[in-house]
Amino acid sequence: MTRLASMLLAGAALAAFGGCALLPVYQPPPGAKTAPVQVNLARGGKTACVGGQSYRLEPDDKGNVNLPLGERVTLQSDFSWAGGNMTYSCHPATSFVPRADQAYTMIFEIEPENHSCTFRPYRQTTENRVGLDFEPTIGLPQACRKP
Amino acid sequence: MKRGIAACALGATLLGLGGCATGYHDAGGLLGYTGGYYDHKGPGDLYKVGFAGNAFISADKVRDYLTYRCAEIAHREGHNWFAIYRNLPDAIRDQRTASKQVGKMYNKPWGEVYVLFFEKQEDGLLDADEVIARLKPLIEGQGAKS
Repeated sequence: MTRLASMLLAGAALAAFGGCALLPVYQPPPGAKTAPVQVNLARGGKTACVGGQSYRLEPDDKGNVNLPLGERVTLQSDFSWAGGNMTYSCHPATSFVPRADQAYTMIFEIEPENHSCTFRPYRQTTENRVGLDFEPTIGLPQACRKP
Repeated sequence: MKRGIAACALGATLLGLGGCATGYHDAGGLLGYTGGYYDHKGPGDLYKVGFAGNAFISADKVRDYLTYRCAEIAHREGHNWFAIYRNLPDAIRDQRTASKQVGKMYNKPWGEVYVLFFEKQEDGLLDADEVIARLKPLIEGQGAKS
């Protein structure tokens, strides 16, 4: 009985963390050139694939993470919500190539019309009232290995 | 006899559940359990406004609740004219819409829009006074608690 309870607890803990909490937090290499990416407007936990490796993203007090310039990075949001006696989840991901002198904002959107969620980067701008513009390097998420 | 009792019990349950459609109220951070509206400022000057319903509310009613909430926020922020955008790309392109076509997420109506406020009337803007006057009977008819 004790063993069964332990197994159930372990299963519940793994389900709660979804494996995300087990990933290392991304830190750019010392001296690396980076671009700020605002992630705190998006729901859910965030992970990244940088250099083929999976990381957890921990934003600073401004809601930003710093990602390396000139290489394609994949960002994923892990969002779940409870409804009645069920839990639903959504894990949208996309990739882009951060550029120098450019700040980005990640936006999570639920699209009930398509039964889907999206997680997309936008360029920060002062050219319009939205404060964001389209990112031209958006691409499919990349395959990534976990440590 | 037993079958009759079971049918009566099922009927009573369905009737009871029919009265549980999501009303007009703050979702309070627990979207799935109670449903309701939610909003936050950003990005930029936009407000993101959403309304999550349960399985007992129609998509049309969620659309009306969502539009009404946008008008309420316009008033709260001291504006009367506002634009609704179906999603962020539409907001960047300034492609306004009169209301959101609400879809379903796991069989529950759910709508999210972006809203931008304006000082003066322009093409494609909604009048918060008119929206509130038109939809208030619907909100009050639902025993709203906002």
